[in-house]
Amino acid sequence: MRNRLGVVVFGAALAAGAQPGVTNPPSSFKINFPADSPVALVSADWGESRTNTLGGAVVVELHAALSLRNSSQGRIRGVTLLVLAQDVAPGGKASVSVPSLDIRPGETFPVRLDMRLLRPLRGGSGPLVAIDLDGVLFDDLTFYGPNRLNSRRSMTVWELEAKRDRRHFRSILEAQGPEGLRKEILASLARRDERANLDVQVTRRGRATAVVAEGEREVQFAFLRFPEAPLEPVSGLAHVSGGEARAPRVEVLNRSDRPVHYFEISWIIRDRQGREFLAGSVPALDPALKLAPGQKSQIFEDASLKFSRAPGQPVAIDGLTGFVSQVEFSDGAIWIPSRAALADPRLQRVLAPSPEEQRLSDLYRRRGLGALVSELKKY
Amino acid sequence: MHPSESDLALYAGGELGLWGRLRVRRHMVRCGACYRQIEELHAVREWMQTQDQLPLEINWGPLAAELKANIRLGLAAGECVGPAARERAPIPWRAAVVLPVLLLVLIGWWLQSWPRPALRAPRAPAPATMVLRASPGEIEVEQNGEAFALLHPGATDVTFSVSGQGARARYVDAETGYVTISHVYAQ
Repeated sequence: MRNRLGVVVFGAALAAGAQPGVTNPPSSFKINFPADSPVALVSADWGESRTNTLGGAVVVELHAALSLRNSSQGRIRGVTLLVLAQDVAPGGKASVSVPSLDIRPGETFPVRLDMRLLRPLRGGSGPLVAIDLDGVLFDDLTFYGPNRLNSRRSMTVWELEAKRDRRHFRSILEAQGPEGLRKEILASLARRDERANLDVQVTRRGRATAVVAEGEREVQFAFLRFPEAPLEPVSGLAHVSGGEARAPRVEVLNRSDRPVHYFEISWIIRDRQGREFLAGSVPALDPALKLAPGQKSQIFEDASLKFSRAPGQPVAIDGLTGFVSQVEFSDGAIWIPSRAALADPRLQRVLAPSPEEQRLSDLYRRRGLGALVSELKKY
Repeated sequence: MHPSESDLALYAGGELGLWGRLRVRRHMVRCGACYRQIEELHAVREWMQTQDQLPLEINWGPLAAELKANIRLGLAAGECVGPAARERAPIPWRAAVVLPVLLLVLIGWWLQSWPRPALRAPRAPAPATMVLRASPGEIEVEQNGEAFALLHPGATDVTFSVSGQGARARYVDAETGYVTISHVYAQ
């Protein structure tokens, strides 16, 4: 079924960019889009890609600028590309998504891919990296693609957040005018600037021999409960030692009237100075999950997460807070928290804005209030 | 009382004597710490057998204990055979002929009747630890000295989130101006 739209051999380009100590790459990258794909590859520029040898290892840096065209009849809201390097890298699976788009039929749009592979120096043939299309989301929430990475769910969540946030900013514009909108966007930018990011290192062990760290203790989760949420967190704990939290587990109750297929619990860590940071999320991993109304389910992650403010500066974890951040029902419908729920001051301090809010505030920062107002009036 | 580190190492390598083996096994079923230590020793041994290079995260402590224990065992064996043999009493010639023949017959019978040990199915090697890293410049998954990273050069306003399944970074791409979300998977 697949039509190889482009097999891109980058030897010449890479050789041109070669520096002393740079070796010629032994292989190529390729792009595979299905024949009936709603996006077509217009061009691919691999000009800055190169390989270097470092002792017994080879480092491949790939920098690609793709130009894609909407060859469908619908308006594209999001695209996810699947990046596969499974022969040369652990896991070897990655994706690059571009949400918050508004691409009309026939229009082109750019996607950048920047990656680095490190592997032992050894011979091999075939492509190092293959780029496939995982999915395209349209403005009516219809989806095209193999969905190998569950990109349908992710892109639908981003699009629902985009609709929610555009509605919010439009209502402010209508009620308070452009100056009210400016105030709101400036508050959003201020929160972004104040929010601290942590460096995180996640360790997954190959077997269940996690060694209990010295001084490790069980820390119970506190929960932020949204009255509107279909799931209610009941209990949860993680094993904490210094800046490391291991094996978080959370139990939830389905209080909706529909079976739930998937959900995620986001969690916040608090350090000993009382500062809070968004730590990540614990997803429900059972692909056959069907949590009936009134039933409980427990999610567990066999991983250890180490948090630090900078290399060598671990965060001393003092408390954990969880909240339900998304729910997918068995019928495919998705729930996300409302703006009112997210107005909780604790959440506002730690939560990143949605991709659409990030895009709108970036637009304001680069092009001003007029551009933002006309953008909000587009759709 | 826990068995010594040397005994645990010899047990994991199948080199402890019968009584020692029974003692360690009896202790191990009650003691999670010793059980885990033996499991780790097993895992390292099996991993080493399947690799032609050293793993990144070797716990040298247990390996050192195993080496020391083996050296001690060798020294002890050396001491057993060390002293010079004392003057022996002469052996009667009939016994000198009959005993080796009898021994040969016994060995032959034993080799015929003793069941062959069943071949142990090789256990799958223990996969090495996979590490995901998320920082403002990149998200990376690394295992066995191989790594795969998605970079966001020149990106502004980078936020990232992690779970045991992967790491995700969100940023405004410096060139395209689009919000871009990159994700590496630990699977």
